[in-house]
Amino acid sequence: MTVPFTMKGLDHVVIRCTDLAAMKRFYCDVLGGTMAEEDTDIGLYQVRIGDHIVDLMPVDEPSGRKGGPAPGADGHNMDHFAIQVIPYDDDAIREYLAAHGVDLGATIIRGGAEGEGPGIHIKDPEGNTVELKGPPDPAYN
Amino acid sequence: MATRAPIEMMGLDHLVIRCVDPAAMQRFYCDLIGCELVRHNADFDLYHLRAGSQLIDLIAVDGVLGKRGGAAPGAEGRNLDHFAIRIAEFDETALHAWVAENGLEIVEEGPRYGADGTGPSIYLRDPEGNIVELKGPSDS
Repeated sequence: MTVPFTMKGLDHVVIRCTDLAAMKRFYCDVLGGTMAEEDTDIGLYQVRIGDHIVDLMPVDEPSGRKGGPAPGADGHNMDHFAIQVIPYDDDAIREYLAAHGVDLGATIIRGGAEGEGPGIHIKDPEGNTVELKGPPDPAYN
Repeated sequence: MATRAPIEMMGLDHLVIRCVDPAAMQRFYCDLIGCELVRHNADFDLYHLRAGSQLIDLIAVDGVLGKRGGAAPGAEGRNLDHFAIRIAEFDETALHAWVAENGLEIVEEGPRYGADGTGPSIYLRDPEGNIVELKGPSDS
């Protein structure tokens, strides 16, 4: 039988973490996400990022414990994830993030869901790579 | 120093999964789930699969990019618990028939909160143990 659904797109990603407060500061206070539902019974904290959600799941709370120990420096199952951001002013983004002590990688023209455009790879407080992806650049598409 | 971020976050763009067997993973994500391979970057062993408005990318752990992330993911110590794909319609009977026909395992199912509210979900496991949630439209 054929696939009984059509995909609209990604809805959320759930990151296993150790220090919930530090992760909330990064995704909300630094990047500008907003806390949505916080389910302390199962241990799931939802940060809205535009149309989608990044969920934080502490490894020492009920849901997180099911996945065993905290992630280490390698052996990650997710290499990175990317968030679409506007506008993309590389200098302003770098200056702002550096002032917050964020680990910054190179800005590279990379392919994304909407085409080739600039993106910077940064690290969240627990070593997950997050790409801030600007709009597609007509020069590369 | 700017006190507010000089950016507005619009949503997710893509998600990159580290895998051991990209061919098996493509069979799952493309042939079963319905993603489309839009580009294979052979230099980096990177596969871009379209999932609706966003992308799911696969990188081989023994490729150029994959090696930077060290060992292959094991059963524990993962950084991604699961991810969710929003599906346009949620026909529970048809989904169950499709799961059974393809020998998949439903890890969990039930109403879950997602980006547009609470709606029905089923959770499946890809060939390398990643949990993929298929999230239906919000009931509310």
